[in-house]
Amino acid sequence: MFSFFVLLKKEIKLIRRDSKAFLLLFVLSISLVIIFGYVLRSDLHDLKIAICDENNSLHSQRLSAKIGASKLFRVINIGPSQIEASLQTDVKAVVVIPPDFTSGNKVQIICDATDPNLATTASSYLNKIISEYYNSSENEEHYTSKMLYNPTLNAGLLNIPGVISLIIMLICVMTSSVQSVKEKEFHTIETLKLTNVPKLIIYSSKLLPYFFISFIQITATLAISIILWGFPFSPENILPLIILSSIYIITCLSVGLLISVFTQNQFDAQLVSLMAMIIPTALFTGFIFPLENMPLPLQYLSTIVPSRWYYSGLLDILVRGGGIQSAWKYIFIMMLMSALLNLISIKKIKSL
Amino acid sequence: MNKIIIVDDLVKEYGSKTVVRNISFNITSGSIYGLLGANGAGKTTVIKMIIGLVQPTSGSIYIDGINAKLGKNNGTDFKSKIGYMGQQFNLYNQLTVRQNLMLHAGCHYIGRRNGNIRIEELITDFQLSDIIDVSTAKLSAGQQQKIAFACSIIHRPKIVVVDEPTNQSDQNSKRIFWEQITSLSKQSGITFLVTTHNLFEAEYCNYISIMDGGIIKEAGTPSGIKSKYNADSLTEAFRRIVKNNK
Repeated sequence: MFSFFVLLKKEIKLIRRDSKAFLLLFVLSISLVIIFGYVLRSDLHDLKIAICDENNSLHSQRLSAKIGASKLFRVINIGPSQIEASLQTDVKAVVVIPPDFTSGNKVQIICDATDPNLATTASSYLNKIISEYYNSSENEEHYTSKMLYNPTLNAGLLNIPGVISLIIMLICVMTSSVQSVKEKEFHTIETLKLTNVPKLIIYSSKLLPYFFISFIQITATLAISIILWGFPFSPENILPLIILSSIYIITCLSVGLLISVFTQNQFDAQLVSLMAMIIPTALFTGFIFPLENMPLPLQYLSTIVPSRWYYSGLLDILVRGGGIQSAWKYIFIMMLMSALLNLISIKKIKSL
Repeated sequence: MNKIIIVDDLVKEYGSKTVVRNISFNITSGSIYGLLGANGAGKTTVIKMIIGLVQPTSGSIYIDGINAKLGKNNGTDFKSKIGYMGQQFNLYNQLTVRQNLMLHAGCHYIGRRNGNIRIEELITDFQLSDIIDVSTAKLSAGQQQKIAFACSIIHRPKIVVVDEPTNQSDQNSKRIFWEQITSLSKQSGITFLVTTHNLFEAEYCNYISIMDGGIIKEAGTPSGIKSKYNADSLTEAFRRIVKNNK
């Protein structure tokens, strides 16, 4: 029995003195509990919607005010010509009050159905408010609905771009940083540093294969999705997809490079990749948990996760068919991220 | 004789800990210079500063007339003069012997054609024909040491720095290794800087420095040190040096 207690005491001491184990056991679990408490919410909060009041009567203004009074929605007013354009932004639904609303014509709700769950929830909450306005039961529908971009409410449309973001993040951040840091662990980097090959060439040659592997993975994932689940893919999406994906892959490789430069062994590289990128990609990209439902601090936090922008760009290109013009802002953001990360890495590599 | 390595007043500090204290020595071209000492004496730190893997806190190093600190601006000259074989051999175990050699050739800008010619020379010199297409992971420690050594001299450097080369080798491999560097030093005029804690092997060196606690306690030829301390072997001389200093 004494030996058991000696061993137990030893194990407790080891855990207390191992900062990485401590981080995994306590900090990670506590952060996950807090984050998931905020993230895992299916109810709506502050969802941005638009109202297009074509009737402009006292009645229609009362309905608009009733929708606007709800804490569930943040309402903006738009004209009839702005309906489609607003849904290309962060507006998730448009309530169209028709010109003949007072003579009994039904309100139309147009939802951005790229996220089918969010679209269905928003639509049902709007139905509740409209029913309250009419003082009738929720079962009686006073509106017609239209699900834009994803009329069949196919959840796969949302998952496939999300899965692609995650796969690329895994390949480019975790695998590349672990492979690069292996050179330090096995001291092979010492031999390379003693050659006349510039350090930047040494590091970039390590990362370049992952650029091509990532494209093979994107092609394979899309091919499987098209063949097995009938994922809609148009050949005119190829060029925008290549441009967007190239920037995302470079950004992820920049993260991988940064991790490999600052860590000393494979375990550290894996841990940092997991905590700094893989978990945030799953949580803050928007394909598992809608970003719109998260509190503002977490929404701000999500802006530093590259996959959030890639995922939004993929939805615009693949699902909404918006082409490169709708994804340029995501490309610009990721280019800035990549430039910043590379600047830090290059500075560190030069000092090695 | 031409001094190919000049180390002057070298200091290395890690925070408040000084691991190398005011070390100075010169190495004559074409000689075998041994840096001896127990584990933790500071030998590896000294050679890593000489080859530029670790930056010294203070002091200067000249490699064949080039200031190693400025060698960064004139990197081509400085690095092409040095070959390095680390304690862990630093080989890519997933690659074959030929692929490892070709990688080193490529990194030294030797080119494919000349690289292949040089590899054939090394196959003959080191008797590698049986293992040339075998993955280095499948080789014994003695064979890996041989390959690592071949990699370090593939670009015909003037200086080869070798860190604890025979730690993992059997007696026969140790003997072959030391015979090889003696022959290369005599025939090709290559200068060797070797660290070791094996005092028997130090007998192969032309000149040795004995390090302890980050400083050089004694330096000279192996026979000179033995006679100075009236010892039959370097082991005995080393014991007396350490005892005197305490």
